[in-house]
Amino acid sequence: MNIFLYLDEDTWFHRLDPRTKIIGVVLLFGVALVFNHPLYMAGIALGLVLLAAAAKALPNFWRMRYILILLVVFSTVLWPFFAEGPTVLWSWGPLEVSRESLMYAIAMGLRLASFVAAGLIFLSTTTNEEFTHGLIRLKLPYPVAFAFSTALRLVPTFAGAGATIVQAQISRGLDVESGNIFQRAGKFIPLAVPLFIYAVRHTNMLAMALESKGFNPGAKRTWYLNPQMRRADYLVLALLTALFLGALFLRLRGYGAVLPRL
Amino acid sequence: MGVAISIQDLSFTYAYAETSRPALRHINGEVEEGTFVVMMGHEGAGKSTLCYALNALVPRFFRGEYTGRVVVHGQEVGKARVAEMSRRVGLVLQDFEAQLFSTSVELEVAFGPENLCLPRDEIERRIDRYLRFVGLAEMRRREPASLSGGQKQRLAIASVLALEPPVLVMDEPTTDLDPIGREEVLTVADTLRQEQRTLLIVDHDPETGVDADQIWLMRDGEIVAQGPPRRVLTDLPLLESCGVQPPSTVALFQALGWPGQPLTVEEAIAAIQEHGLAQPRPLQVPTASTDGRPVILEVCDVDFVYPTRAVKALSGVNLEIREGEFIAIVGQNGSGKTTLAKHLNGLLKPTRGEVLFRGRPVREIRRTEIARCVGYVFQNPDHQIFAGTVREEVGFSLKMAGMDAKTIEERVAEALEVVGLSGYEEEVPFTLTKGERQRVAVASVLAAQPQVIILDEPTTGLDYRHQRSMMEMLRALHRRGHTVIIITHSMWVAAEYAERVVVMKDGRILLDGPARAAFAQEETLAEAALRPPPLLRLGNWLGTSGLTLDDVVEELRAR
Amino acid sequence: MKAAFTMWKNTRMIILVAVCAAIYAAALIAFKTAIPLIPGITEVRVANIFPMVFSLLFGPAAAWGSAIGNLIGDIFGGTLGLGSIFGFVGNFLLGYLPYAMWTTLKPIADGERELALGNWRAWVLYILLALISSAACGVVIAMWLEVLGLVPYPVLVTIITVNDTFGSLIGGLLLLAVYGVVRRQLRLVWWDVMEPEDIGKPAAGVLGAWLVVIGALAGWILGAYILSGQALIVGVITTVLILLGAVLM
Repeated sequence: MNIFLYLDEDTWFHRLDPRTKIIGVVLLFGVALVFNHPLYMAGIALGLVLLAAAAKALPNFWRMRYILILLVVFSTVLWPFFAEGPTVLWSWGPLEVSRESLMYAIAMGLRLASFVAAGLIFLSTTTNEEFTHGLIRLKLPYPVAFAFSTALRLVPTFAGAGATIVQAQISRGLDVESGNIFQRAGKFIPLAVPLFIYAVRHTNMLAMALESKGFNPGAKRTWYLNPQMRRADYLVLALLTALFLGALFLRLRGYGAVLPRL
Repeated sequence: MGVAISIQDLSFTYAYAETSRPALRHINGEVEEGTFVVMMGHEGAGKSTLCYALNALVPRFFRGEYTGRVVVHGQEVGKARVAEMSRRVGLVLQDFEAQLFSTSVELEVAFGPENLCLPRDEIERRIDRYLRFVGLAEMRRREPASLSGGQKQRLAIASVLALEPPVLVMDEPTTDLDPIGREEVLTVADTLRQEQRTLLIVDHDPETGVDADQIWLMRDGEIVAQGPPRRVLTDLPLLESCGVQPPSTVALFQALGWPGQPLTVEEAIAAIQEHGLAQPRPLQVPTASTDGRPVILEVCDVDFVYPTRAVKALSGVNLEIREGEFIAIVGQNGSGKTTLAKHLNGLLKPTRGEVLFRGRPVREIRRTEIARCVGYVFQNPDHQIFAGTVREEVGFSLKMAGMDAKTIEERVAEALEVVGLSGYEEEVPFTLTKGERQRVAVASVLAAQPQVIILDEPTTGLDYRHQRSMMEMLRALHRRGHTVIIITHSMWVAAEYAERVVVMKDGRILLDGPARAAFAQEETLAEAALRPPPLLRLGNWLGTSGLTLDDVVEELRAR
Repeated sequence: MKAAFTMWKNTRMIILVAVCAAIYAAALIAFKTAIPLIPGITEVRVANIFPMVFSLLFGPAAAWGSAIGNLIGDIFGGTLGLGSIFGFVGNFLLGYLPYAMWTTLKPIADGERELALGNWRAWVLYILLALISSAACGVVIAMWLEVLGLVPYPVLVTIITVNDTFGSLIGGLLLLAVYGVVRRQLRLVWWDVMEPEDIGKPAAGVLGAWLVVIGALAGWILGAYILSGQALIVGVITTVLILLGAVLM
């Protein structure tokens, strides 16, 4: 089962230092956060799609299409009732929808999609070990990074065990698909208990294997991976910083907003 | 040559153990540098504890009462931390799934050297060297989760070797592997020996011990025999008392009173020729036919493709299973054994073709109903055990089927009696031994009283004694009229217990026939990278048609 | 709160973080669409049976494990974004509050770490903590997503609170099934795994626990039903209360 999103391509985006990618994605999040006008947000979303094409990450966008669409629809439908704007289009009791709140809602849908898109580009171009190592280089303490990467490694193992457990219980007559919500939730116990025990039994074994290989949480150690910041990395970071500051400047001058809120 | 390991009067009792019985009692031993020691013994004999005592996991990680002295390459283990010992002793564990924790193969190997604070180019050198050593150089960037069992275990070995310890200890490194994986790991062990590294391996298979410099035989926390294989492996009563499978060639020669103690088939053949003990004859396979019995399960031209994979897991499989048969399905991992078996109770639905139960398509039978027709015991009992008591666990499928409390009670008692666990109703399943949990799993499937019972690897992870009793139990089930189908890697289990053997390779049935006839076809089996057990390899040469030691002995006596 | 930091010295605790995170993430991914609540919008997060169980067994490892597990769920789900930051904090609380409040929420709590699961009083506390920790998680996450303008506060805080409470209550059955094994057989409950000197004493445990109770309930009920027009302000103030309370324990 392949649940990882990494796509093994060789683009300039893949070759960036993981630190650049992490900081870069945060800056892109920042840019998406600045505006709340649907046209501006559409521009940002389009830019991200182009970036994804350059990073050959579009297959993952296709894979995630339902989630992306749902996020946009969910946000667009809900927000008009919670944001208030001056030009009321429709009202019913305390509920009202204004032109501005409608536009704000569309912008928020696009913002949510932009976040996911930026995240997807990052995940499509960064291996798990680059991600972890980038975090270490950004001063995340080693034991935390270690727990994170070990968890990444264990997810497919436990998911596989989970699938086997489901089959084992189904072949003993467990029927997970009938009953009301409460009955169904109760049926997860025969699935959750074996998964839990199976996983927790791992703990002692893993700890033994680790210590046998000289692991010591607090001690100094060296690293095999050795990413280098190159000129392209600095260039990308400078560009994205400029983009973010530029966007901030525009917004402060009053552009790109339908409502006076984030 | 110097002394690599010296153990003096070592005793150890685990703190918090269920019993206060010592895990190790007065162990003494000495291992010279560059020698190869194989440790054998029953489950709970103390083999693993002894392994842990060599790299300070005992007494640092596992606390307890520790007396005596262990010295490895001049370092007293009892006074060192585990991390310090990692430079001297490498430890490989049985469970390959639980000892890999990196997201890529090369980082797994880099982990140890990184902890030693080695410079980057030295780490690079070690990754290169040891991945090549275990034959995984091509896999550097792969996810460890995507490797096969044998590859994972070899990766675990490489990751330990990268610390360049002079002593390597492997605790049952091949137990969970298929025959190819086992071969791969043993080949690595062989290369290590040639490099003059000190090697200690725990293993159940007497064939591994044949080349050892020393065998340590353990029983109830003590070493009961220590010496060259030719001495230890020929003492059959002692082996039996330690729950270790004796080499069948030795057993055969002793039973017939023939001269010599051959440890391998080749030695046995040489001895027979030298002393003129018997004349090889062409093999006559008796044709015991089961054709008269009604067909219970029928697989008709089935293809199966897993949704996430492109290759066919099954292709064009045809199989007829008759009521009351005892069938063993053998083959490597990935050959389609389990996929085929899961079609028999409808867990998987064929991509093409049809599976019939008494002439009815399995896909049309409801889940709760099929559980009462075709029972399926998964390989790892821990994948299904969830309940607080054995009673609840075994009665689960009956409760799901909506039976009343009284019937459930009766059926549970009956199923527990069959698996030999009467009186265990109120026990907590999690606290039982692996062998007992395996039985609980079997009982929980039996309780539904299915006509057909399928077991995936029923003997894996059990010691010889427990393997025997598990298989005797299945034989008893078979005698009561159940159709029994097992998936197994263990050739002697298939040979001794099954009536019919189905060999699978690459999603196809390569060979299907009565057990003796199937094991006579050594060349076809070799295509699936399988070999008959030693007794039948010798039998193929001698032309004996028996499947068990007793049968072969009787036949040769009659000649 | 000391134990949440000193635990990083302990190999077994570090691995428990990874194991908790991996189970949680695996369940998040596997059961993503198992039982839709409002089809297409949100589902019963079946995975949420785990964090509270982790918490009472593995203490601080559960806090970090739930936080990291949720993050990995976001990563695999493809929904990694700025929202993940407070998803991390909220799920940290989900794994942190139950064990921290189990001993400090006096007089309902009796101060014992041992879970006396045969005792009705333990279950009263369990149910209360299920609600409080879920509401605290909901308040923190909903506040942040409102700030970012992603999802309106009143909708999300209720969904998360109800959802996680429900999950934690089902989790009670899981806890009952596994407690004995983890406690006596595997010996992995956190107060056995950690050295006593690393566990430390809370700065002002009882005060902290009640601050969390007030913050969580006020944040949910006021923000969602009474002052939903001022949801952002309610969210921010109650988040501060909850985080302050958490640090004091």
